[in-house]
Amino acid sequence: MGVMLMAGFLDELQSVPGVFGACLFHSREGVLQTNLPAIYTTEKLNEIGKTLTRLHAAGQMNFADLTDLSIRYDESTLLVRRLDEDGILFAILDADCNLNLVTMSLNIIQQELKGRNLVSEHAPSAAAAAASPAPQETLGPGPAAADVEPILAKMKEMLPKILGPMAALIFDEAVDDWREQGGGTRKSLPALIQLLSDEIGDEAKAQAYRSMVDPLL
Amino acid sequence: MASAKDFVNRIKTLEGVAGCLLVRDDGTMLARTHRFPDEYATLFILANQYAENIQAAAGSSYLKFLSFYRAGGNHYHVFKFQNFYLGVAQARECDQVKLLGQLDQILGAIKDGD
Repeated sequence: MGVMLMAGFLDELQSVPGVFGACLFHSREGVLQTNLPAIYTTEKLNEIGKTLTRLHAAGQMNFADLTDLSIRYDESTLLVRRLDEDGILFAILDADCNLNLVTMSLNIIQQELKGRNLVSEHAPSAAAAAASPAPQETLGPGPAAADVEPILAKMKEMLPKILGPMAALIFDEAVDDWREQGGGTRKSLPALIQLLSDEIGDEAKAQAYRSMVDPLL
Repeated sequence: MASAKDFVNRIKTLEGVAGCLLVRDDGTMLARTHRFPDEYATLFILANQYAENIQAAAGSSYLKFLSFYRAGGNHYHVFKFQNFYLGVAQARECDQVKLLGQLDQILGAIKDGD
């Protein structure tokens, strides 16, 4: 539930016009969640996250009431907010993005995260991990198919980051093939991911997509 | 370029500027319109260094400025140009987009040697 919750927050932020994506970073655990395009590898995001954490801390030493920090580059803006002692959320925005809209979304997310432990929220709990797949294995095709729809929607949303504007079409065709081959349940999602990987064609990009969708499974 | 004092006084006349200071990239405070703490000079250098490190990691093009957003609304913006840092304290109620655009234009002209 935690992973989905965090992913939901980041997707909400990404829906703001001009937001490329965001990353939830923990100073000890590293990247907890991200929906940034695959070119931002985990290694890069860890490096960026560490530096932003230090930068925000340096700012707070001088401005006790510091809330956000932004870095404006020629073609993009990086916006950073500290969520708790160890966690920051940073978003990469179009240079002309309306910062007020983004900070308002951040305020809402921060309010909803208040009192939650970012790391434990991120990690799927043992109970949830044990409980959630089991019913799907035993349910008939109707409920299982209904259960898989939100995951398919998320997977579809993520594909344009890898395949660009044709992604939706390719995704729908792959889902049709997957269903024809007996897919349609959560258990059979790896087969869909394999079909999509074949469509992507590039192993590095396919791996990036698998990394993005794995937390959904 | 005009003297450091003239320069900060000119920047101070922009609508929305509550105060400003000019620091050389070795940390020397050259001019300020208010009693800004000396520690700001260190922050400017450090923050720009961090921002340039991120620029390299993210593959971004050149750094324009940094902004520190404060709960009180008196945000702080830091620009680097030539061998200097310009720190600008924004007035609480002001058109931030307009102010940052003006500052970018002025500093861009200096960078271009106008």
